[in-house]
Order: sequence, then structure tokens, then C-alpha cells
Amino acid sequence: MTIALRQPGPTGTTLPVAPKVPPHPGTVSLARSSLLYEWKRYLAAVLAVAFSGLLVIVQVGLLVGMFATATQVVDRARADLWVVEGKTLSFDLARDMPARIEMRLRAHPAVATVQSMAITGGDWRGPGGGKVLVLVTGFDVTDGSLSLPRDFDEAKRLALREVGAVIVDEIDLAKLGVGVGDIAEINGRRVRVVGTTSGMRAIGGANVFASKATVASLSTSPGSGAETQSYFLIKLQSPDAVDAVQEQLQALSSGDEFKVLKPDELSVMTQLYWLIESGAGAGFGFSALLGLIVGIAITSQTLRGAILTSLREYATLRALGVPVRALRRVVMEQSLWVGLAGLLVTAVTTWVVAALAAAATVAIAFPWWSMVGTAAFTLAVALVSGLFSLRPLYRTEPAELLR
Amino acid sequence: MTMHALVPSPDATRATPAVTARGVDKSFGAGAARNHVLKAIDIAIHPGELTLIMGPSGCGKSTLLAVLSGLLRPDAGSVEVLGTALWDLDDDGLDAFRLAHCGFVFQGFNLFGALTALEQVMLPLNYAGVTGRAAVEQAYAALCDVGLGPQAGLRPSELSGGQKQRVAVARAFVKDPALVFADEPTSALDKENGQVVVGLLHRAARERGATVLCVTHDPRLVAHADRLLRMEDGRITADGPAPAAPSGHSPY
Ligand SMILES: Nc1ncnc2c1ncn2[C@@H]1O[C@H](COP(=O)(O)OP(=O)(O)OP(=O)(O)O)[C@@H](O)[C@H]1O
Ligand SMILES: [Mg+2]
Repeated sequence: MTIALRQPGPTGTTLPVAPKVPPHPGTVSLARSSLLYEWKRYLAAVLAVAFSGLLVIVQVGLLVGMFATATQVVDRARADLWVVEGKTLSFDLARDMPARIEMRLRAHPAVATVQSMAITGGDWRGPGGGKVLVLVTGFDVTDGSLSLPRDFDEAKRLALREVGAVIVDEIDLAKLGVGVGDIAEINGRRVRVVGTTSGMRAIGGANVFASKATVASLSTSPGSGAETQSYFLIKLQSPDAVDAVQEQLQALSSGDEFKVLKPDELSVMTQLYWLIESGAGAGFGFSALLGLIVGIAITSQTLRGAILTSLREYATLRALGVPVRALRRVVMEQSLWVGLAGLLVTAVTTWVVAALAAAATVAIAFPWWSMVGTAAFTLAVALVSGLFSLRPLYRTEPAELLR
Repeated sequence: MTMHALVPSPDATRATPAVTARGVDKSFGAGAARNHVLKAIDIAIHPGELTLIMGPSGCGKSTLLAVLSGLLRPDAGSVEVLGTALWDLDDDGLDAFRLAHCGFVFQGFNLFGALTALEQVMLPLNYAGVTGRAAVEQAYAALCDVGLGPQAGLRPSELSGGQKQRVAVARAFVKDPALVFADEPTSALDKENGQVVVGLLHRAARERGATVLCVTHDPRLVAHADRLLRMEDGRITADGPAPAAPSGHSPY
């Protein structure tokens, strides 16, 4: 079907040449045109969606940031696999297991090295006399150490070889009442601060890093430590085989004698444990729900308002034969764009928050899964809002509206 | 010319009617509040003619238009449009039928604030499956047809009332519909713009052979009409050719 170019207009004048057709792609996007033209109207919706997203990602970021400090020892170690007692739920609450397990692990042909790591609680007494509860981690300080954090340089490793030498997080210096070079006491035994690390602060109390020998010297129950171990760290001949070897080593465990975990598995297990155990998870869930409700309420009202102001226009399209489902698609496309714009605002503000947090040394982390989750959450807020706003469309009966 | 009969009858000088209504009945409300708006209306509307429906406010003109154009289901009676029994169609069928055959012009212009004149006209084309270059050309041609070629890039806020209604007319005409329904298309316009719009409606009937049915209060339109139907209290009370002069002697 074409319409011939008849060019006398109603005034009867004839154009001498064929009129120039204006440039246009030939498809009208009602959704996008309305959004761009009336952006002020949709701004509230965009901000509401962005607010919901920001609420979620910042809270997740703070929680992950906080609990990630609990697993820094795991995350910074060089082991391919970790072995912990079978009923262990959290890295820092590892139970002891028989030391002879080491032999069985070592016997696997793919295993290159097996090392142990020690951990003990202690009473810290600084030079000023203040008492702090500390968790002392005893690394292997040999040349090929699997437990020593990757960012500990050779000087730190050599310094820790001296029994009684300890390293603490720079942020905990004030709490512990010491500076580098100072002498303090743990469980009544002298220790000397030989250096500091960063990003390894504890959630409560303080972390102290030392050698296995130092930890053994601090132990309050003499005799233990020889027959039991808290952690075995494994280096493989080839890290490519890690999945298969993990399975084979796990099969060596009789019942829940021990668990073989990859470092990230041990980290996530620990973080989840703390998320639930501390009640922070429930608090987070509650405020995420609040963000969801507020976001959907504002966004759906905005979209609804936009539909209501264009109700007669929509009704005219209905009269011209455009089906309701096509109009529904327009609204859903609008909500999708609102969601994407909101996501962009969330991304920018998250970036600002991250910069501020870094400046204030607040532990906040944005792992990929929290970003993907927030993006999905944000788009869900927008799309559900779109669905909630649709109702007026079903009232676009041209016979009612256009009499 | 002779008066048309109230009941449609075969007329050798005319093409077969595009719209035939038989015994159309419509009421609103129930019980004591029941309002009998259309009372067993029989009517035939012919292609190539501009047919006016006039009558006092509330007599049921808009309701009749809605029933004949597939927008409002009657309580009883049948409507045959272009050989299709309209009210035997389901809702999807009605939408498809209107998309293919019907153009509408209303008192309010009902243009989307965000769209340019060209886009307003292109929108129904897109929904009818015409896109790309063909859509732009047809939409622009329809705009030029109503004398708004130079205004193609303007939004409603930049157009006068008369220009807006011409855009709405172009939107109704762009699919080259066999049927055009107009409800008070000139009520919001001054004399001059009203003349232009009714001229366009008339031309659609004359040049394209469209069936144009127009409800109006506006006596100035009578001069342009081919046929005038009078309606009172839910019935067609008079039916005849429109008098030549708008303000002259009226046979009614
Ligand atoms: N949806 C409805 N519900 C109830 N009553 C209705 C409805 N639509 C129309 N009516 C009634 O039907 C009667 C005819 O209405 P209609 O709109 O057809 O009149 P009209 O002839 O177009 O009047 P006007 O010239 O003022 O536009 C009126 O009394 C009106 O109140
Ligand atoms: Mg009316």
C-alpha cells in the first residue's frame, strides 16, 4: 500500500518539485521518545531504582568487606588445597585433627608439599598494660612456605623466624598499644613487634602473625600440638589437576575426619558462617526488602502517572487497532530503560562510595557476584514496577475515553 | 435527488453500502437507572460519501459511531462492515479489523507530546507492519497531504490547534483506510481550521472512495456533506442529502 504524493495542500498550491522526505529510521519508539522528552518525569523512578540498588550493593559490600578480613589468611596464602577437620564451619574456628593425616595426604602422587599451620588464642598485654584478646596465627616460615601471605616479603619472613617475633595489622597498633620494635606479652610470654601488615584486621580483638614455633611457645597447654594440627596446606605438582586431586584426597577421609577445600571454598564457607551467625544476614535481608518495597512503590507510581497522562493517546492507538499487548510492551520497555538508567546511577554512586571508603580505610568489597546480583535486583525492581503500573492501560477503552 | 429511505434499501445509483447496521440496540445501566441509548437502529453508510450525523447532545451519536466502528459492542442487532459481520469477531479480530480498515479523528487531538508530527503519523504504520523507508515516505506523504510537510519535525507543543488536528487527520488517513470515523473533529477549532479539516474529510471520500462518517454539532460542516442523518433520542429521525448552503434553508 502506498499513498501517492498529492501535492496540492489544502490551500491548493502546487509544489514544483517532489518534497524532500525528512531523514528518519522509519521505526518510532514510543517508549524511548517519551523517556527522553519527559526525562524529568522519569527521573524520580530512575533515582528510586538506583537507591534500591545502592542500598543492596553497599550493604553487601560492607558485610563482605568485614567478613573478608576474617579470611585474609586463606586468601593470601599460596596453597592449592586446604585440609581442615571435618566438622569445621569457619576457618577461624577450625578444630584439631590427628597429625598423622599428613602422611596419607603426602602419599598421593599429585601432592608436591604438605605443610601445617597453627592457630591459638591469647591474652595480649601491651607495654601500657592494656589487655586485648588476640588470635595468633603460626605460619610456616621456611623458604617454600605455603601459608605465609603473598604480600609478606623476604625480610618479613626472615624476621618471623626468630621465636617471639610477631607482625600485626597497622590499624591494630593503637588498639594493641604498641609500635614497631616494641615489646609486649602474650599469655605472659615476651613477644616483639617486628613489622606491620595491612588489610588483615580482625572483626573483634586483633590478629597477630608469627611462626609455628612462636605459636608453640605461647601454647598454654604444653604437650598438645605434636599429635594434632588445625590446618594442612597442600601444594600440587600441577595446579590444573586440582579438582580431581581434591576429590581423591577427600575420599581418603573416613567419615567426616577431614575436609579438603579450595581456598575460595574455605573463604566463602567462613564468610557465610559469619553472615548467618552474626545476625548481619537477617539485618541485611530486612533492609534489602525495604529497598525493594520503596523502589517498587516509587517506580510503579511514576510509570503509572506517565500512563495516566497519555491515556487518551493510548486510547486513540487502541481505536486505530493497536492491540493492548503492544501498549503493554511500550510500558515494559520504559521500565527496562528506567532500570538500566538506574543501574548506571548505581554504578557511578557505588564507585564514589568505594573511593570514599578507601579514603577512610573502611573495609568494603565489591566481588563480581555482588555486582551481578545488584544488577539483577535493580532490573527486577524496575520490571516488577512496570508490571504493577500496567493496570490503567486496561482501561484504555476508546469508547469510554473519546466520546 | 430523492430522500433516502430510513430503512436501507438497494439503491441502483450507489455502490453497495460499506457499513450496514440492522436493529442495533444499546442500553447503559440496569433497572431504574437503565438508559436506552440506541433504539433498534437500521442504517446504511455508503463509500465515497461524507455522511454527517447531527442531533441534540446525549441523543446517542457517539455511541452509534462506536458501535459502527467496532469500539463498543451493541446489546442486540448486527453490523456488517465491508462484508464482515463486525460483532461476530473476537477482541483480537476487532483490533486487527480496525488496524486494517479504520481511521479515527476525535475532538481532542490526542497526540503524544514526545513525538514529532512525522512520528505521530508513522506510529500506526509501524504497528500495521510498515517500517523503514516505506513508513517514512508514506507518513510524510500523508503529512504533505494535509499541508504540513514543513512541520513534519515539530512536536505538538510547537503546533497550533488546527495543525494538531491536521496531524491527527494525517494519522487517521495514513493507512489509506476504507472507513474514516470522526467524532466532533472541528469542535475545538476556529472556523477556518474547521473548514480545512472537513475539507480533508470530504476529499478522502471523493478522491479515495473512503466511507466517511462524521458526528458533529457544527452547522458549518453541512455544506461539505453528501448526506445528513438526524438523530434524536436514540433513533434516526431524518435522512437526506445535505443542503447546499450551510446557513440556508434546512429541510428538517
Ligand atoms: N459508558 C456509559 N455508561 C453510562 N451511560 C453512558 C455511557 N456512554 C454513554 N452513556 C449515555 O448515553 C447517552 C448518549 O451518549 P452519547 O455520548 O452517545 O451522546 P452524544 O449524542 O454523543 O452527545 P454529545 O453530542 O453531547 O457528544 C448519554 O445519555 C450518556 O449519558
Ligand atoms: Mg458525543
